[in-house]
Amino acid sequence: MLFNTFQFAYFFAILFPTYWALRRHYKAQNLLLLLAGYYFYACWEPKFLALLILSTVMDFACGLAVDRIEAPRKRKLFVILSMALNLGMLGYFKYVNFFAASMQVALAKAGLNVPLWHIEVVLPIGISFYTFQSMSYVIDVYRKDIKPTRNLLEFATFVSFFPHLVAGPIMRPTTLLPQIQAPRKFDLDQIYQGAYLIFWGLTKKVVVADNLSWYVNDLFGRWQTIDGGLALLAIYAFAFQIYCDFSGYTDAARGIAKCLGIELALNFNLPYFATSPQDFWGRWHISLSKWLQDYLYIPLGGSRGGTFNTYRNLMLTMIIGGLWHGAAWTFIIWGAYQGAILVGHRLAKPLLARVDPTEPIDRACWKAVRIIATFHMVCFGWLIFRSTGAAPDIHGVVAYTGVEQLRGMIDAVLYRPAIPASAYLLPVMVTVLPLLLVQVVQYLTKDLDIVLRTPWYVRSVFYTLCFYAFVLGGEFGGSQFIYFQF
Amino acid sequence: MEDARDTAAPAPRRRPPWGFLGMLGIVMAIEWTLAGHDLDFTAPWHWDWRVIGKAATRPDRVKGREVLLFGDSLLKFGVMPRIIQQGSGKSTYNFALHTGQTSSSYFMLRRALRAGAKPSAIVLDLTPHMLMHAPEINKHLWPELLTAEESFDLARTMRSPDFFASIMLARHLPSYKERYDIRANLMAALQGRSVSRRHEIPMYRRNWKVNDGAQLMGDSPAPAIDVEQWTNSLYSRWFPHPVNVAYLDRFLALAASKQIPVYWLLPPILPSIQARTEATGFDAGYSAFVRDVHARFPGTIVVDARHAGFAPDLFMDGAHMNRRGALKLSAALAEVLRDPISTSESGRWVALDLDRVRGGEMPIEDVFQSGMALQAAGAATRR
Repeated sequence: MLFNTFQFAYFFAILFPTYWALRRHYKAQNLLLLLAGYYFYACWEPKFLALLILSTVMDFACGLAVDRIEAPRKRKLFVILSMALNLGMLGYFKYVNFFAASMQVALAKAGLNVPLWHIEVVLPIGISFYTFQSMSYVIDVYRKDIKPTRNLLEFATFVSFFPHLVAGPIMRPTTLLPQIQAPRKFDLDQIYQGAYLIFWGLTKKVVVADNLSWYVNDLFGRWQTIDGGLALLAIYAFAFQIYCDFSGYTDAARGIAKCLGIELALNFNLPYFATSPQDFWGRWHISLSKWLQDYLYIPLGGSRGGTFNTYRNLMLTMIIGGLWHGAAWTFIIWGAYQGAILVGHRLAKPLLARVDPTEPIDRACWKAVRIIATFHMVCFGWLIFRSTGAAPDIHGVVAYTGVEQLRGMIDAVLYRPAIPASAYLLPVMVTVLPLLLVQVVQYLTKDLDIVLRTPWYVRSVFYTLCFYAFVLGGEFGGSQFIYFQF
Repeated sequence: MEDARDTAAPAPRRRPPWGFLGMLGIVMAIEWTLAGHDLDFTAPWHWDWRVIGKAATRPDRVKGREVLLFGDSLLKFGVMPRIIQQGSGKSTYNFALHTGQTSSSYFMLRRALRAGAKPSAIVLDLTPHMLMHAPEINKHLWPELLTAEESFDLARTMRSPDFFASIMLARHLPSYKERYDIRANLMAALQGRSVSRRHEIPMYRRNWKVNDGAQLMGDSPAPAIDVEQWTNSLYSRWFPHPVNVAYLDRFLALAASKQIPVYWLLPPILPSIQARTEATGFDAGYSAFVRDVHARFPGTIVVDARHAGFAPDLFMDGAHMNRRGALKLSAALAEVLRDPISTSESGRWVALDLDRVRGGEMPIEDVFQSGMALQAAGAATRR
């Protein structure tokens, strides 16, 4: 069930009043949320509900065990058990065929033609999200960051909370669980904000992302034959498509949760206004970045073990982060690329600090240069990211991105005005520019909710424009969200 | 500059959401304006579904009609009520719709019967490829036709709550219903062009009116079409959609319950395409389906015009009749409708015979003549 379908509208239209009718009985609300979450998940594939329940029950039990047992080795054993279960599920459904195929290629290169297994398996939707969330609960209990809940219903509601179940944000037990454990207050203002977020998120999805997807698919579909200008346009369009698709989903998820009296973490904070790769990862998929930082980068040693170890940890974290996105070499290479630009940025920091201007106008120009440079570094990463269908080796990526094509693109940008056919430029501009305009205002005012603080007539006009962009420009095919595949 | 804040909890709201209410006001004003400018955005076939759909509910249009025609554009362009009346002596109205499906025919028949129609015969045509498509293919047209009850009926049969919601939304929000046309108009305007078909609509409306619901196209030479492409796109593999089959059964059952015989017309298509569908086995599959339904509903008479000898110069494209073709087909059908109904098995499957055709020569206004008549009327008014 997708947020951008009438099916979900029916579902929420029934759930919302029922939920608030039970507002004096928050335990009944939790039960309702649990049933709603399981129904929401089962709409994709009922049999995979068993995985969600298994992960929930095991991590609940592991959490209790870790809390009760004093002996450090035994406590660690239960953490390992939880990790083995969650990562085992993830590994089986997501990575087993990838590793088998990669091993087969490696063995074949060594002259050993060993036929390895290939399992016919479907990736359960959202497994990367809920396994991480469920696993982090046991780790938090182990670290004594949180007291375990003794109520299975509360824990199951926490894991299966449907707004963020299949595509995040990945919520930390320390922030979401206490909200599940307490009564929720019916607050019209919160519901109004929630409705705004749902509306804005769906507008980003059905107006910007879904409209761009047509041009992106078309241009990437004939990548080898398009000129440099069109290639550049395709990458820009994809950058905004993936951003609006994912951030649109999480905005809607946050809005839905708000309507139910629960706050989900901010997952995107104007990422294309980042001034460095490090800044970008503080703004893009923030919940995953924080998760990787807290449960991977810092346990690996973080920046405590000297320069080399810091860079090694950074690279490892980003490569694993890349692999989290999907079982393909392109994602590993994308992760490595992100790690490399993070390391590169750290190395360049002293140099950048030296050229940092002091005059206000110079500083503004310098910031603009950094934003543009970071955006293009990110865009190059999207070029790798988009080549998901390539062969499972680095040659696939190189062939896909096409050295000749890249040269053509650079050539086009440097020596020819990159003016692609108006059939592409005009619709892409019409789709992206209004969004950018809103974001520039959000960035300059340092306020993501600036719209909610404008006078009522400005809001009315803004909502009307969004409404008509939604109704007239929206693609209502109920298209899938890109991040569902992860 | 610091990160943009995401302020989760501003001051509690005690006032009405004026921004939202203001938007509602603006939206209502825009929708009201749009509703008054239908002509600028809608294509002629939207009007067909709207105007002919309403005609089926009007007692003055259905009472006293002895023959009612239902189906799709092949019947709408191909069978002229006035020729049927001339040949068979039976007053006729054509309720066929562009891209009509069995479900639209069922609702039209039900409306006509509720409005007091007591026909002695019903003619139905079902183009094979329209039988294969899901009702969603007409998603932009259904809001023009269906009432809330009919929408619910169709959505329930399709098991699609989304379909019901979409139709309801389109019925109440003109911008949603006409969004593709508005979008096309906006894009064209940005490029300094106009794609509005406003000027055509009065012409078609006049033609439907003077021809009792039918649309007579102009004369045209034999069409030069790619037979392979037509066959591949429309007649590649026979597989009727279950929703269409369900509504076909309901249509025939409704007619049977009123003891009205149904003449199921298998209209002619361009001979070269007909030959191709027979070579690929598509035609055999379709014929088997027709025979199966025919066997289940004894009140059905199949009128097979597929091999009646319609020459290529009687078609305007691969399937639709031009003026001369429509007049010939109408006259041949009138002969069948004039004959008493046979109860024998062989008598319930009639091969249309062009050699028997008499009449069909009366002056009938085609769409171009309708256009010219409107221009002349306009000029006279200006004078």
